[in-house]
Amino acid sequence: MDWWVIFSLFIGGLVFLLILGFPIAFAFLGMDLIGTLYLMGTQGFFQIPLQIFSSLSTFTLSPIPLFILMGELMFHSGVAYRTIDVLDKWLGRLPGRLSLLAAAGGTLFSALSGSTLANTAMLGTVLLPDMQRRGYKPAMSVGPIVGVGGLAMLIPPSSLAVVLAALGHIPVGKILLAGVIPGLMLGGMFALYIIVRCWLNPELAPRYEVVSASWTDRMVLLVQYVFPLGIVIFMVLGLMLLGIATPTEAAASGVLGTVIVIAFFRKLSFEVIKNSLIGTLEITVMIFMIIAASNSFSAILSFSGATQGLLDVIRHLRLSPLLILIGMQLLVFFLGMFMETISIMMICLPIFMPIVKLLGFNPVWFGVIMLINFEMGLITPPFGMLLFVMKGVAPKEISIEAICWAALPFIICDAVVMAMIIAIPDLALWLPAFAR
Amino acid sequence: MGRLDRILKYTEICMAVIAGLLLVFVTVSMCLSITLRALNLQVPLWSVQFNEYSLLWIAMFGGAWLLRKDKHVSLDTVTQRLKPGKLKVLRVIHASLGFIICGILAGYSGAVVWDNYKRGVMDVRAVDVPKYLILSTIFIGFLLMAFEFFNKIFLTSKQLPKES
Repeated sequence: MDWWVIFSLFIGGLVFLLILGFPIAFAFLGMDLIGTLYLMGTQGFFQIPLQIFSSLSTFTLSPIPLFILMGELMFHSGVAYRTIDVLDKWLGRLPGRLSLLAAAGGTLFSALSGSTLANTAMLGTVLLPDMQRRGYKPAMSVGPIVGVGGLAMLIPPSSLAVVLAALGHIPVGKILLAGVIPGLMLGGMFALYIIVRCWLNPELAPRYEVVSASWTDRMVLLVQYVFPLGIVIFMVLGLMLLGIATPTEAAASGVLGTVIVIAFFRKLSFEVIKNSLIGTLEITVMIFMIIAASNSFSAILSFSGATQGLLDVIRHLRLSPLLILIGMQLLVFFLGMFMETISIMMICLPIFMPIVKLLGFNPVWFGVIMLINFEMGLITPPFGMLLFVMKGVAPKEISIEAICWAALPFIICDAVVMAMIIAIPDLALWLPAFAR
Repeated sequence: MGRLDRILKYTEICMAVIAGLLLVFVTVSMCLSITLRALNLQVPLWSVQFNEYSLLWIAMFGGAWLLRKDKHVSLDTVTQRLKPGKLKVLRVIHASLGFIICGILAGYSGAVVWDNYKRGVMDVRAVDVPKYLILSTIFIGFLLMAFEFFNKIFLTSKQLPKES
């Protein structure tokens, strides 16, 4: 059988199982079994446990549970909520100030938690009622929140960036650092869009009287509530940047820092630790069970000749590398509209990474572009996960259609930043190169 | 079946507790190594090796517990549009497929564990560990997941006649 027939059947079978709602981890494992049976017979089944062992017993994956634990501790202790009040005092009378607060708060939370879902839910719960009360339209209430919610995937500590690095064999530390500048650019782009849009159409975010805080109050609040969180950010990002800690050690020190900060705010309790551990375990096991199938999946693609066949096709296409890159991103964008992020990584990376090598792209740069694309997938209808999270926390009168329309300008902002990263790779590569 | 279900449930919870403790171990050991390194002291050689094993064990010990909680991520594009009766039929199909997949993986993992035990294969690293001990968690994990899927077939199909 030709490689493309095997490839189509293999990917088609997988997509069929996924569409039927079969748990993703078991769909991949099932296809591993079928692929192995076809290519190697039942003897090949003896290799699968060993492949699972090599897929998961990898030190590269160890920051994942730690980053998740950091976010869970922040979420369950409620410590990060207080920063919203502080940022609120600092914003003054800018147009669309609550929307800007969402953009600033979301960017800050992204540096404290790796969970896009928790980020969006937290911002939605804290800010949306006030936005509604003050007559903000969905374009300026739910829009900025879903837009900025996805930033957690890009700005460290990002567990999905680690998964991407592990599956794509990209240096973890470099991809984590490479996400910082694009993440901040996105936060800035969102803020700029909010100011311009509210300036052009003030009805979207009606102005209201703000009780002005004195500079002394602002400074005291900043030192009291934001500075300790800054230490946590430094313990992850700073230590990696200075070359003092590996990504795993930075993640562990981030957890330690988070525990100290929570204890400092007198929020550390057995309940917080227990709930955080349970939450971490649930997400970690879910991710790891999917990754368990990764090595076998790549091996089957390679063994069937699909990887080599696709590379030969690309080699003979006579298209410019840029067009191929855009084609790959369009495919990921399309899949992102329907599928969950790790599944897209599992399907695409074994195929894309050899192409990246063939075309001579920098894998870290490519990884950052993929992360921005995944972030867009989270807020792209019809099945963007963050759209549903927002629907869950928003009042009933805000329809899913309104949320989708509100997210659209932020998807365009994502696309603009992605284009900038493609055009100027140093935007992503400068910081990792600067790190020791 | 109720008693067996309870036994399975508590076994899964015990395994999840072990997975949680391993999570604590990974966190503490990493914090310890960065502290020791900052103090110019020797980091235990076994630290990285057992952290790697822990990642595998966390997934395998927590897999069945997560399955019971229905928290293995899946796409609900089609399922959310199905009527309850049809959804239950689909759930039985899911559980049956899952049972076959996990059953095969448990069977072959068991065979690999036995083979490694008979041949005395060691995982030669900082600390030499018999490989069958590490791999046996894969066998246990998939065996429990197979049981859990079987449990789901039984529990879901019991509800089918009421729906129709």
